[in-house]
Amino acid sequence: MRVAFELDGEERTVETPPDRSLRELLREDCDARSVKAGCDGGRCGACTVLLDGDAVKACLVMAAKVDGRSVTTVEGIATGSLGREVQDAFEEHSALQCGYCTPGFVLSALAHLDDDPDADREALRSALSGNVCRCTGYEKIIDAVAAVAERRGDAE
Amino acid sequence: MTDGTADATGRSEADYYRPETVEAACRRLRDADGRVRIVAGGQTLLPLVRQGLVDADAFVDVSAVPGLSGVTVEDGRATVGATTTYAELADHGLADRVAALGEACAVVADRQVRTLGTVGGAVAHGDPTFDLLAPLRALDADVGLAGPDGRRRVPLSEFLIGHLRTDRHEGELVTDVTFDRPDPERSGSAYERHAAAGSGRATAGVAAVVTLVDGAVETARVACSAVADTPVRAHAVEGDLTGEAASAEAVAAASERAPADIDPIDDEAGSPAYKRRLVATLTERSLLSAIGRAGGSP
Ligand SMILES: Cc1cc2nc3c(=O)[nH]c(=O)nc-3n(C[C@H](O)[C@H](O)[C@H](O)COP(=O)(O)OP(=O)(O)OC[C@H]3O[C@@H](n4cnc5c(N)ncnc54)[C@H](O)[C@@H]3O)c2cc1C
Ligand code: FES
Ligand code: FES
Repeated sequence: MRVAFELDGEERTVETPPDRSLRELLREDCDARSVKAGCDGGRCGACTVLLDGDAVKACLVMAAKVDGRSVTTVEGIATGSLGREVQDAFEEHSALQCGYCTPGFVLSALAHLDDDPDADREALRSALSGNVCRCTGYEKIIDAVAAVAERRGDAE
Repeated sequence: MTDGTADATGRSEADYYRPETVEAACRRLRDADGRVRIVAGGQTLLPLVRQGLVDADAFVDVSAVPGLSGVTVEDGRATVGATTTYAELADHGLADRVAALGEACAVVADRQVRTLGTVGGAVAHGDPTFDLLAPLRALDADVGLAGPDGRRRVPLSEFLIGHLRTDRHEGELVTDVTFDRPDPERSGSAYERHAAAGSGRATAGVAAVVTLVDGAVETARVACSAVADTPVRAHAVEGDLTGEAASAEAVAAASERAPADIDPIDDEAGSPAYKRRLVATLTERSLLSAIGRAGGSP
């Protein structure tokens, strides 16, 4: 089937079987390499993208579902101010080592901060529980996102 | 999009339909060629398709049918549309008033899965480990279905007939679940579950819905997930507690009877003996919490 959607602000039209995963569609047909493949079964969060602004796992989304919708990867958020802020905070707080999990964490964090701008650590831990990191032990990731939340909380 | 073209592997491509009404969805289910599968959030279905465990010639995606989504409460009866997501249900006031629902939504997988996973998908799949089913059983919910012979309603207890087995007829789709909202003045509910670290799925879960009158238990409904081939009611506990003072002692004694109604299997999550112990503990916790919310002080 033909699927037409917006990827990081650009219109894309792709021919795909409907029951392929969005993860494959993005990496293989759209060259969106920041969308990582980890478990391909919904357990690691490395493939997280924003679908119409909400964090979802691309390996659990049928390709057919994105027709007419918008998909944002970590490449697409760099220009948005909150997106930039979250990415900078990851760097400042050394919240990444190998970096494989980072795009997924950044997007999950972004989706959560959108709903809950001054989220506390407990809320962040829960919001990020769908993302797995083998390197950092999570604390630094929470530090980074909590710092953004605190700054935004103070700014209000 | 629906012409069934072949993909690169030579396999014929499945048809994909996105009907906009329940009637159109039913027509597609009836008329589509070959094996048809309903898709809601796809959070359970896509992994099964990818693993080759589900093979469909056509998919009917009901997730955008407007009439299937949303939560309403009218004359004390609550209706949750089939395509309402966990995230939407958790955000609705009903999930605060009926705490067992909110607590079950909160423990399902993670934020990403809750954004797409739906109530109808949880009910229709018939997996007894799914967290929402115990609260719905304890609320005495029933299931709405629409199909070629029109609409019907079935109690959830009759709809869920075994492990991954339901009473859904060919061509039918789940439209909603409904239940009486417990009396907000003197009822309380809770869901307690345990999951092994790294697994996510419930080893066991217990939902309790309690109504009090003058410090005594007027009605108690207790349902357990993941410890039988369907979510089951703990009738022995319910019977022991009804009419008793809503005290910690009465709850502790009644909870010991929870293993009488369950039939846990031996799997990587634990032995049957472990799960029986666990269910007794979760029963006690959920009852104490439900009684507290009903205004009691156990
Ligand atoms: C990583 C991961 C972790 C999970 N952890 C948990 C957990 O902790 N607790 C828990 O309860 N669940 C868990 N789940 C499962 C989740 O609850 C279900 O995936 C979700 O509720 C299913 O809803 P869905 O809309 O995605 O269903 P789909 O995947 O779209 O469909 C599931 C099944 O139901 C059928 N179906 C769907 N809607 C209808 C309808 N309206 N009428 C008739 N048939 C229908 C489909 O044909 C399919 O057979 C987890 C899933 C994943 C991937
Ligand atoms: S690759 Fe999608 S969750 Fe692991
Ligand atoms: S930084 Fe390596 S997996 Fe997270």
